[in-house]
Amino acid sequence: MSGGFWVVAVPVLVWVGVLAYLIMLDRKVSVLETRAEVDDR
Amino acid sequence: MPRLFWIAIKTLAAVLPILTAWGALAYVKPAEGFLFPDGARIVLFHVPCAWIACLAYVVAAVYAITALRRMHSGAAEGWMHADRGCAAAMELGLLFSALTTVTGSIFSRLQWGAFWSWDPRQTSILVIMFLFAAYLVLRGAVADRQTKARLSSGYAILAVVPGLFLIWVLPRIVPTLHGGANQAVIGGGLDAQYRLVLYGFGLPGLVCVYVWLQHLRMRLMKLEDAYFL
Amino acid sequence: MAASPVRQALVVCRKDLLAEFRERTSINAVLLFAVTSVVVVGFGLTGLSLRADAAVPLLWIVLFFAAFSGLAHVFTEEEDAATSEALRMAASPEAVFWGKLLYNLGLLAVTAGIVVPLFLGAVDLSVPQPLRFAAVVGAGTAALASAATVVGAIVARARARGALFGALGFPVVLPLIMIAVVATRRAVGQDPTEWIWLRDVGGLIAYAAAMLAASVLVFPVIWESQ
Repeated sequence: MSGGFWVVAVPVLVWVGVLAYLIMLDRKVSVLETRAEVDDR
Repeated sequence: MPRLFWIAIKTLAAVLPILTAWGALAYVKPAEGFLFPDGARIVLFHVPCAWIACLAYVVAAVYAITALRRMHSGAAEGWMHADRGCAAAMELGLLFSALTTVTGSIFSRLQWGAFWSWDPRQTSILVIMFLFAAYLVLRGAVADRQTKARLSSGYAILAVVPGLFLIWVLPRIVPTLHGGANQAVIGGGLDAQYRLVLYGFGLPGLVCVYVWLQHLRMRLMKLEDAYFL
Repeated sequence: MAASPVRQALVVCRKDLLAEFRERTSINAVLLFAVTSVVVVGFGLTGLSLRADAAVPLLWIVLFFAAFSGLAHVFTEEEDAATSEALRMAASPEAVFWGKLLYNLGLLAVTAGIVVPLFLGAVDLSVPQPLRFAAVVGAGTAALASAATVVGAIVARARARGALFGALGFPVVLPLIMIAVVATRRAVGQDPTEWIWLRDVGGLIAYAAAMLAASVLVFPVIWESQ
């Protein structure tokens, strides 16, 4: 397919960006959850 | 769910879509029998999105039934978890049905010359999107937490009737542009390469992404409920 | 609650009928809305002669909006007058549902009875097979009323009811309208052999039955106060 490398690289990079965001969210939620647990005790 | 399970899900969710992109855009040969053989690759994104939208709806319906039963039997708080599950699934269903509509209309433009042609199958996915959206709008219109759960779970169950009709019955009773495509995917008419990318990378990858997103959203809602109630 | 559910349902329906008879607000509003819609359609089509094919969807649009603007009253009035709680104590949820449904069926039937002939006149649509046409419109109207009743019950306890009612009702009812439009086209069509009773009217009845089954399951929990 014409444009070869970039045709694959662009969607992959977009996805990596989304992933990074997801991982960040996941960690923030974990932090809040542990804090909530501590508050509960 | 054990930690290992989540590590596996998240890893797969990270990796498989990358493999899908590579598979769809570099690995598979351009499709024969299509007007735009290269454009047909988008089908490898379109089909998983559609299936995940349906999966999301099934998950939502199951959570809705659970929530209604728990409320009806007077369980103290058990319904809240189920209600959160239903809401999260509906949100994700909206996301994936929107993606399905967009990828579908891109393909439609390439293959049949128009982004939208009011084909019954196209209209179905649009209406399903409206069902998801209507559920979320209903939730927003109710202030009391339990009433919100009651009404939205009720609506989610009601929506099974049009949902089932649009997904299962309609394509079988009305001729649609989509018909040939259904046969190709489900009837085994797909080339081996496409099958590998679709069933090996695309579908499992998106399922893992969905599971992760669903769980994350539910955790976030739980914190919201704890904070605001 | 000594009375049988059927009797309770009839009493609920009768209560609404009597209340309506005294002030006639609902029926007036629904009728006015529907007749106005027909006038707008008719006026918009002045000078154009519309094929039967094209006029039929307009009829169902008018009926949809008549149902999904007017049929929530049975529940919203109870909420606004704060009589819902009393009704919960006086009758079982099943009785309330069937009673309200019966009332809405009657209301929409009367509306359709007036509006459909007006529509036929306004768009100059001829009906060679009145029995088939009546059957399709009747079945479709009944199905619309059923959907509107349960969605009305949901919307009565929410805010922004007016727009919400239509927004919630539309996706639920769209397949029904799709079937009804196709079936009505066949009913007024030139080719009488295209019509199949089981498929055209049967399909509508089946959809209505499925909606009712879901409504019966869902209504008691929607209706319960906390």
